[in-house]
Amino acid sequence: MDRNRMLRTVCVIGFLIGTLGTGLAAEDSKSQDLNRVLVDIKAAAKMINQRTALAEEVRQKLAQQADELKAEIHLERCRVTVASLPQARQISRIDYNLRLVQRLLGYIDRLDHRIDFFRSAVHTLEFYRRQIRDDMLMLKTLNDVDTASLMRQLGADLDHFKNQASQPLLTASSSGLRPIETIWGDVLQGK
Amino acid sequence: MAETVDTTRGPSPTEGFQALGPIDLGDLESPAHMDTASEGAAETTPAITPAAVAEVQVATHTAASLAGPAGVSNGEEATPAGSEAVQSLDGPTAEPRPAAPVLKEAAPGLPKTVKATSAQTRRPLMAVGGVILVLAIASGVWLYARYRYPTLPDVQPRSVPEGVVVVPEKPASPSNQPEPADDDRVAWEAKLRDIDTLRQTLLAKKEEILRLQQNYQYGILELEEEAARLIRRGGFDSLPQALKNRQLELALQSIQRRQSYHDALAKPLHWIDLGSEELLYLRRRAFFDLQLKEIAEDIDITLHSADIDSALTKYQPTPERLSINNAVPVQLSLEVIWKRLAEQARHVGTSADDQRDLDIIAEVCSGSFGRVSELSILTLKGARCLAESGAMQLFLNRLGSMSSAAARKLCEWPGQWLCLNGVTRLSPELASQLFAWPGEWMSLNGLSEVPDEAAKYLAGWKGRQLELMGLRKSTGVKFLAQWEVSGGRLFVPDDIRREIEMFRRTGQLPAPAPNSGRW
Repeated sequence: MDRNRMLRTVCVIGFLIGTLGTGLAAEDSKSQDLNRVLVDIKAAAKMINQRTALAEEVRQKLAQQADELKAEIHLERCRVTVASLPQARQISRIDYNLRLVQRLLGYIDRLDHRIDFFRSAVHTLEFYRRQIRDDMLMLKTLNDVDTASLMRQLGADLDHFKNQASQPLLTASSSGLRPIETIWGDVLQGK
Repeated sequence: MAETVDTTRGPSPTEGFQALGPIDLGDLESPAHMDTASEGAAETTPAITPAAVAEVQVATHTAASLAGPAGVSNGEEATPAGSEAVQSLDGPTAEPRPAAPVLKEAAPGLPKTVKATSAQTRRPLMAVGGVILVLAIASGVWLYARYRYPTLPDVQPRSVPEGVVVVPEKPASPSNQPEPADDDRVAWEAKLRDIDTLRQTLLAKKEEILRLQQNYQYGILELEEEAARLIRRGGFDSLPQALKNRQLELALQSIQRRQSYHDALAKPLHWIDLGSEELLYLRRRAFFDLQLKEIAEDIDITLHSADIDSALTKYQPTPERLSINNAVPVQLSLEVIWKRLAEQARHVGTSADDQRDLDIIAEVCSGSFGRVSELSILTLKGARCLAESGAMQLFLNRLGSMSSAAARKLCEWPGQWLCLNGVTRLSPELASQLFAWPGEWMSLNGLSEVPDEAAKYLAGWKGRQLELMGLRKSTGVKFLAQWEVSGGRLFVPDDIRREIEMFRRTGQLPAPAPNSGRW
């Protein structure tokens, strides 16, 4: 009889464990999923911040190089006394420097666009992080919260951000460059 | 109670307990297994009545309900046992006593067939319970595992970012074998170095050509000076008349030729300018893109390489490319040259002093410096002969002034001490030339003032000692003080010295005294 009781007790306990395990697993899975996504967000934000820092560093270098070229244009302009752009473009150094400045400014513009995107991405990730923490609190209190929509959107955005962050920072195409006339005007105004 | 044992319909919770009667009641034999409620019920109930049984049922309801569905699944088998159990409990002779003994008493009353049936029934029940237990645990584990890493059906699987997360491990390179990237870097460094080298070569050639051009220009001036003197001395009024003088004719033709050479050199100079600027542009362009190569796409490094290679070939300074053969410009007509010289001849001095200066210059040019200190006018030829002399000191204290070209040529003299104490006025132009002299010691004691416009050129002089003992006005003190601070040794009168010291202490220039005409 003791054996029978033991077996039955084991059955009852097993059933209890199974039932409880099922319930707990369902509830715990959301919490763990949210935690995992928080880790993903942190990693993505770190990656994006690194790319932003790199982009800013490169941008600063390019801007300095463009400034040096502009200063050289200015010196050359004073040396040979030219006022108009057609005159200036007859001077090889000025003409070449204007082309180089145009190129560098094109790179800088694209880096700026990239940096803006990265900053926006970091803000978006921060938004998600905040919402996830709120949802976790809700989950802790109410034992359930609907996270499907958030997870879906976040997953898509994370993919997008990571993909963008892994892309080259800029494209060296010759389209969308500032006109030489504009650059010449900036040089004349000391910009 | 018998009617509760109905095998034809599904068991109710209560029925479930009743259906499990033989087993459960058997389990209740031991008082230790009785819960408090059933004990209490037994104590307060004098006889085992249906009511008492019902209380026991309630007290053990939880356990029954947990095991109920499994226990009642085989109602057909449970029914006889349950009936027996109920019958024994319904016995009319039952007296008031504790519930346990009653229950214990009921068990022996079970017939053997019932016991056998009970044993037969227990095995399938246990098997079913075991299967359910395993299934429940398995399902719990499965659900836990599934929701721990759920799949989001609507979200695209996250792709592994390229180039950042996945960093392919480089196989260990064989020793002493550079990586392709290293090769590329080395190749680019070599290419950029080639550009620099070629550009430096071109710029050096440019300097060389400029010096040659300057030399021709000086030669023209020297010839013009000589020709003007000839014109003045010969009293020629027209070009045809002048051309009848062979010396003058050859001088005019030499001027014409030198001018042609001078102008023709503009062609290689222009070519060098184009080349050096294009090389610089290509170098900078490549450098800018190379520094972005790792973070940008669509950078056409191959194009850079091809452009640079092409330029490196295109701008090699070969004799053919530097040649002026096809670039000799139209020569100046002798008429134009004549007009210029005729005008110049009007200002040529013909006094005895001028003649004496010409004689001294002739001596200098022949290597005799005995009367050089008596020179009062320095001609271009005289300046050239002095500059080319091997003297270490030149005392030209009777020179009151000199032309810009003569001063420039004189300052090519690589001596140590240049005395020009006869110079009484230092124009900015003369200052720019004198302070470009590479010697160490210069005496300008004839100057009573050094204007700021002239003094500012002093900052560029590499000499170590400057004598200005004739200074009376403190203009240029700021520049004198700065030059002295930079390591120069300055000899000036005491009052100027005090003003320099004051400037060095306060950084302020002294205020000019009223009506003194001085600071």
